[in-house]
Amino acid sequence: MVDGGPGIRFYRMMAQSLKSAVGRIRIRIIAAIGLVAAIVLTWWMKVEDARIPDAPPPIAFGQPVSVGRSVFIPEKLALANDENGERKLVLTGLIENVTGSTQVAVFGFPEMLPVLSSGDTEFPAPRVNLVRDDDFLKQLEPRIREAIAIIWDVPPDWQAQDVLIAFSAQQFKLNDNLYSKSSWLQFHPTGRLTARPEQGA
Amino acid sequence: MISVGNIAVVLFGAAALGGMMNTVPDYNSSFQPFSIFADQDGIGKGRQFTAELTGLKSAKVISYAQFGQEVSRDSSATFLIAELSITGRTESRQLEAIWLGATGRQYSQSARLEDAPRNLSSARFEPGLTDRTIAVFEMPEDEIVGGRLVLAPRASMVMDGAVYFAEAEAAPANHEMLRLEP
Repeated sequence: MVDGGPGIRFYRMMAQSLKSAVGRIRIRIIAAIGLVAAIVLTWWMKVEDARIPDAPPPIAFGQPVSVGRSVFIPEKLALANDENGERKLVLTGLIENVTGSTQVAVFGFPEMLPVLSSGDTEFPAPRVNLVRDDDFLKQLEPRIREAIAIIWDVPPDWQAQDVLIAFSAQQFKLNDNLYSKSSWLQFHPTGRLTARPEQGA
Repeated sequence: MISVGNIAVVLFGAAALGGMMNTVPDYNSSFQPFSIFADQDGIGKGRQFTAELTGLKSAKVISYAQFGQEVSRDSSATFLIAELSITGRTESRQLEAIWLGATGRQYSQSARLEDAPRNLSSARFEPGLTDRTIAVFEMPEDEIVGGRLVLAPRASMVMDGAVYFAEAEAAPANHEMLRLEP
């Protein structure tokens, strides 16, 4: 030991102080990483929210709208009477399966059919028929475009006026978070059609 | 040095995990039935059934009688009718069929013809007994040649065997109107 120089205790103290400083810096770095991760996650959640618009875009006849596993092109909305003289609102159009396999859940699972609203009148859920033989649409094959009719029963007190038809689709995820398998998840609105029904047969 | 070693271990683990995630088959392709291929004579032996593909036909319109009523079904594309002879092996089973199209798309049996006579959808196969049945599909014509029939026990396809028949090499006989008889 050199007289007047720092003693062994001094070096031990310095080493401990350095160790403590490294520990504190490590904690601060971890905290900073956590903070940055939280900021990035919040920012990404906002980006994800912006990707799905709050209000579905307006669509027109002849314009395709996604209904999830298939794409629907509305062509005509008519007010018609059935064989019993009861009024029906009939939306006709073309539908095509855009997946790689036969689909039974054409409008998603659980099924979410287009919703029709007009003023304060509530319309019951519609039924979907094939135009060519008026049979129920039971399934949709890939690459076969079918003409369909979506038929609503009209409440007796409803006067013909503009109606709004809202379409929605399930979100497809190739690898879900549970099994990493492809899944159809929550519904989101994809389009709204505003039209006045034509007088049909 | 210990810290550097720990970081190296974590990085190696992350790289190994990333490598596995990108190379291991996904859930959908892993959990599929085992493939059993039919022999040259068109006979496939599944775990619970033996099936022979006896013929293919296509038709624009299919008609049949149901409860005394005439039923006629047409298609926006074409109907493909696979004629099968099936024998149960160990237990009573119902089967389902799909057509793997030439483009790789999967076509299920047409639900619009479920009540047609001898349809596979309503058939049950008993051990030791042989029955004739048909599976009817609806598809674009260009999915037929190069496509193949797959037959598997209904509702238990995962971890069971599915019989793959040979690819269709030529277009089947086409009928404008095909009558299905019991």
